[in-house]
Amino acid sequence: MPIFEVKNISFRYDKYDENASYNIDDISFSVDRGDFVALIGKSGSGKSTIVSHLNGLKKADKGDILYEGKSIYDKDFDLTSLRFKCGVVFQHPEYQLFSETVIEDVEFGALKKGLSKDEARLRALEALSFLGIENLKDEVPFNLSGGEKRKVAFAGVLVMDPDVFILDEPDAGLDSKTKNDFYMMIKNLNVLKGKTIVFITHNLDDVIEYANKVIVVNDGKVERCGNPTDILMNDELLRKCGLVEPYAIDIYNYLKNRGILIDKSKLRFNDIVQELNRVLL
Amino acid sequence: MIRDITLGQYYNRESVIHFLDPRVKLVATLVFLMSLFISTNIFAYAFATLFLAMAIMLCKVPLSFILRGLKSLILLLLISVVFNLFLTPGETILSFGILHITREGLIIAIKMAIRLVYLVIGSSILTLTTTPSKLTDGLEKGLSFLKAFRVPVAEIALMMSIALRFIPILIEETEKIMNAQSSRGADFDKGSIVDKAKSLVPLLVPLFVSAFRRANDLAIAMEARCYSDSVSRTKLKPLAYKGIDYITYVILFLYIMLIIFTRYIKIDVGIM
Ligand SMILES: Nc1ncnc2c1ncn2[C@@H]1O[C@H](COP(=O)(O)OP(=O)(O)OP(=O)(O)O)[C@@H](O)[C@H]1O
Ligand SMILES: [Mg+2]
Repeated sequence: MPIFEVKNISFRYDKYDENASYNIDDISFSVDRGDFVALIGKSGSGKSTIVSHLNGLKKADKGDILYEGKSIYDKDFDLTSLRFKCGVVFQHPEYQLFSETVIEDVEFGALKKGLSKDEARLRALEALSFLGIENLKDEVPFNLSGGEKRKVAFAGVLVMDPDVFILDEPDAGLDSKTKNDFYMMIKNLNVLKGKTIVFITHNLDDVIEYANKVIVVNDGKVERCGNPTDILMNDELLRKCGLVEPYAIDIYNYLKNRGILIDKSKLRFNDIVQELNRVLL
Repeated sequence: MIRDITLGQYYNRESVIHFLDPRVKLVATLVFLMSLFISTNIFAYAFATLFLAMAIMLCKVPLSFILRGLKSLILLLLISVVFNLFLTPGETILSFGILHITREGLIIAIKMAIRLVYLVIGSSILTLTTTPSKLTDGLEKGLSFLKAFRVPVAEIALMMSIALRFIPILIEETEKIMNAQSSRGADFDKGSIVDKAKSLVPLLVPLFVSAFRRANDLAIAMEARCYSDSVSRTKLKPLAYKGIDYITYVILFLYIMLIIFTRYIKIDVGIM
């Protein structure tokens, strides 16, 4: 059974104009436990709107969302416990931070989950040191840099130890080293702890690198759903959705045109290096 | 719930009312509010209803959107109705134990409710159809005769429009913080009214902090554009009356005359 099953949801922001078109329309997809799903699409296509439905922050005007087979719109569905199991890091971390100090902000979710004060503080400190920012614990969140805010927001979700991580452009505003560390950490959460990851990104190389499933969103609709390589090799589809193919595919095509064929399923950075070694040496 | 406060919001539509000069709309709102308080009998209320209905129809803002503003008012409405209903002395028409509903109380309660509801609808039509900048312009120009008495009209107008503009910003901010907290397990819907009220407390500090930040940002932005109160600014679109504005003034005059006239009709219709 998929962990999330999104069934034909539609949503529009303008609730008072019946003629307004839906911002997302007839969206369906499913996410299995342990999946590493990427949502891609150009700016304004509706990605953030879609993911903010998954933990019930927005309620779809039409359609249904099943979490472990149960409709989250059911009267007796426990939305609060869903929010503990499904942690969301917003696109704009400043929308997510509200406390006076970083540590208070990070421990908020743990306290709500029912942990004791000491335990919550301990977990918060753990999360902060995990992200290498324990030195910020007494700072005011609003005064931090963009990347620091993002880490604090992520730490606030980490303390709840959710089963599903929903990350809306987690790499935006991070320097390249931090970004790599960050993705490695998420990858570890996925591989070692079996956490399900749904992330939004504009960097398609990261999609090849990390995702095992891609959902392409275009103009509020799901354009295609499937295996990353198949989707990212389809330049007609990418062009239609206003996306540009990642470097890995460029390299693959370049080599193919020169008569060198590398394995399609081996387009991750390390794989490509190995493949190149194999075909060139 | 928080989203239900429509006061101070602008709703973009192409309608006659949006098109009117802001001074006319300010006067119209004032006239309408006045008319509510000099209305004494059912005829006056009927005319006021008609006037309001016309305005609602003409402004092309969906009725549901306008009525949404009333939801946040229900508690206030209920309190004032209940107090008037039970605490006005007079001829008793219904009794529940020690509580008596009097004829006079009933009349006052109904009038009060109508006045309150119309008042909110009337003033929200003004803000729904007028952008804050036009409102400021209207206020500034409409009150410019006060400059002769050394009243800082421009500054007052600016302050008022910023205050008005901050209502939706604060609402937006509240919603943002509620979203952030509920996505990490805060629950604003569960429990009794007391529980709900308690769950709002953790919102207050962040709300004020962010309001001050927004105010600070605004001040910096104004400074960066060299805003100064000592320079008299020119307007991109200077206000000028058009035909429709004069017509509206005439309609307003007729309307208030009509309402005043109804005070002299002495017919005992039902309880009114
Ligand atoms: N709060 C809002 N009110 C009204 N419309 C909104 C709001 N948020 C988003 N929209 C509209 O919904 C559409 C989808 O927005 P969304 O934020 O989901 O896009 P996105 O795919 O996440 O874009 P980006 O890659 O830039 O983050 C856009 O057309 C946007 O204008
Ligand atoms: Mg987005």
